[in-house]
Amino acid sequence: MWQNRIVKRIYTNKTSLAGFILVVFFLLVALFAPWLAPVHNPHNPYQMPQKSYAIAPQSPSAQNWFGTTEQQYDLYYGVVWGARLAFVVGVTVTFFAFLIGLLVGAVAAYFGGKVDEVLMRLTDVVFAVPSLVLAMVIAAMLGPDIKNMMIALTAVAWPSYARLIRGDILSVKRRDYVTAARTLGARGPRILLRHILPNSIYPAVVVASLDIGYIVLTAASLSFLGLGAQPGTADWGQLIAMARNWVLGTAQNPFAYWYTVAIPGGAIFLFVLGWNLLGDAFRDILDPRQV
Amino acid sequence: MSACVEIKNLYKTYHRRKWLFGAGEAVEVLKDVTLSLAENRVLGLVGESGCGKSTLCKVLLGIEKPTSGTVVVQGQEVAASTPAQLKKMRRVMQVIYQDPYGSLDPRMTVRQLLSEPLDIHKLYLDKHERNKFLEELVQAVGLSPEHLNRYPHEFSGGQRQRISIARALALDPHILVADEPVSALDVSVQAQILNLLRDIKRTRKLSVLFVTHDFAVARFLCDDIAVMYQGRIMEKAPAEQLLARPMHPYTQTLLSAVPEVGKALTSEPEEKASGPSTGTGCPFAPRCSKAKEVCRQQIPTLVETAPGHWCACACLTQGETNDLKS
Repeated sequence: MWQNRIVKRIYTNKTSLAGFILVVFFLLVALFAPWLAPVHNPHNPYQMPQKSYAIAPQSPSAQNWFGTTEQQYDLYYGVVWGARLAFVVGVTVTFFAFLIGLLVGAVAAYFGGKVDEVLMRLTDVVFAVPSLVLAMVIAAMLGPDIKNMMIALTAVAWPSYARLIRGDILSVKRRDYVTAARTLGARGPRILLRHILPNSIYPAVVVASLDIGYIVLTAASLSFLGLGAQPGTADWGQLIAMARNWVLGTAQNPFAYWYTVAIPGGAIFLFVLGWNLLGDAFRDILDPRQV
Repeated sequence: MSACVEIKNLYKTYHRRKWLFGAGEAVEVLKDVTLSLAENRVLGLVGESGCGKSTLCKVLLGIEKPTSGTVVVQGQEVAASTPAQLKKMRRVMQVIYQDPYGSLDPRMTVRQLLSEPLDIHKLYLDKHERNKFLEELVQAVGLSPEHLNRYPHEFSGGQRQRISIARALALDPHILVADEPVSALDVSVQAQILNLLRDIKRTRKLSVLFVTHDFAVARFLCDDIAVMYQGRIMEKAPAEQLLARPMHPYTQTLLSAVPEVGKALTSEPEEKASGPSTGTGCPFAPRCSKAKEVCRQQIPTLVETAPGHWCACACLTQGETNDLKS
């Protein structure tokens, strides 16, 4: 069965396996964050502990495994809780973007005509503006805050789902088994829920799995620009923003503060890479030609 | 012989929309089709690809609206029915599709596929009765109960077509529309499915509209045959009569193209004038070896040339006979 196919595909393909391991690793880190890095501020666990107010970062040591970044925020704590935040942001934004896209795409494809025209032109408007720029504008309007950043990301992410789902529904709608259901006496909702959606939703699921990484990357960009997480939040983009002044070290040692950039940057890189590889695996598994 | 399906002066025109500007192009798919399906008989609708056979089925099933004309199924006009009336009609008239791979939802098991019509019409709601009914149903089409839990992709084309037939029979209809049910199958499997259809027609007293492009298949199964060309009925008659004494030149051409053992194949007479018909005359005139001036100017009407034998050919209305030998 197809469940076995997923397992087989992931085990036999090295890149799929790498993606799977990376995502599972980050998932475990996110789940066990309170044990890996005990909460410092019970009111806001995403608040990074600040060791002192000294400006210059400190290299990794026994106390601070990954060192500290500007203003002595603990990088280890930031990376661990950042993984949790990355999952929250990535999954929530993708979920809501998927949901809105599904709704808009399904309504447009099912009713067609003027409804389709209006909804699709609306998605075109969102598409017409570069998504990062649009997200920046929305986030700036709503004010810098993680929740507002997620709203901004959702607002720019849904149109691609709407388009994809609409196209797939339009093609499935014409298949014989949909006509067959109608000749059996099935009406709209039943045809849509039992026949059309189950056969048209999978490409969007694949895109969603690829999107989680991309959303986290965009979220990091917004945080870096000061439009997302606030200073002191355990957010990978925020950590990189705080490393901005330390990319180049001293004249004698240009890489003196390498850990301030490389550690959160590496976390983002591996997280996005993991989801991309896993998404590729999903795409191959759900492709019927692979059978 | 009462008719359970009456099709009268049916026209269906599709409008191809042009992009943004300009009037769309109109394509007449069905032109003045008048047909009736008699109770407990098999009517074969024969014609080449693209002649409008499948469109006729869609209009008959109420999936497409006719441009003009009427389709009456057991006293009820299809196009004028309310959704509730249409739903009732589904129990009377069911359909088997051509493509055994496309007509079954790939994500549903056979049990789910066959349960769907019962769920929709709220039949056999008791779990035990439902199971018993489904088991009998699959056995009636030559499958076994253990097949109920499998998915369509686990079956061959012939078996899938059996599932399609079972689904159509689940509602115990009186009328069956079969839209080329065997044309996608191997010849050896075709025979099995045709035998099954013939048995089911007999035991369940079905009236069948059987669409095909194959005279050999029509000969085997049909009581009456109607020949269609470019959306028009060219000739209709009881099967034996039509096959023995075809009157329309088009029917004669089609029949001479059916390969038979021990008979040399004759090629179609050379086209007298190539290209599509001008739209004014008989649609077959450009390909017809007997076409005259009148054929290019006037559309011939269906005329009863012998009892029960109708033919639309200008040559016949002028009192001549189209003998095969001439």
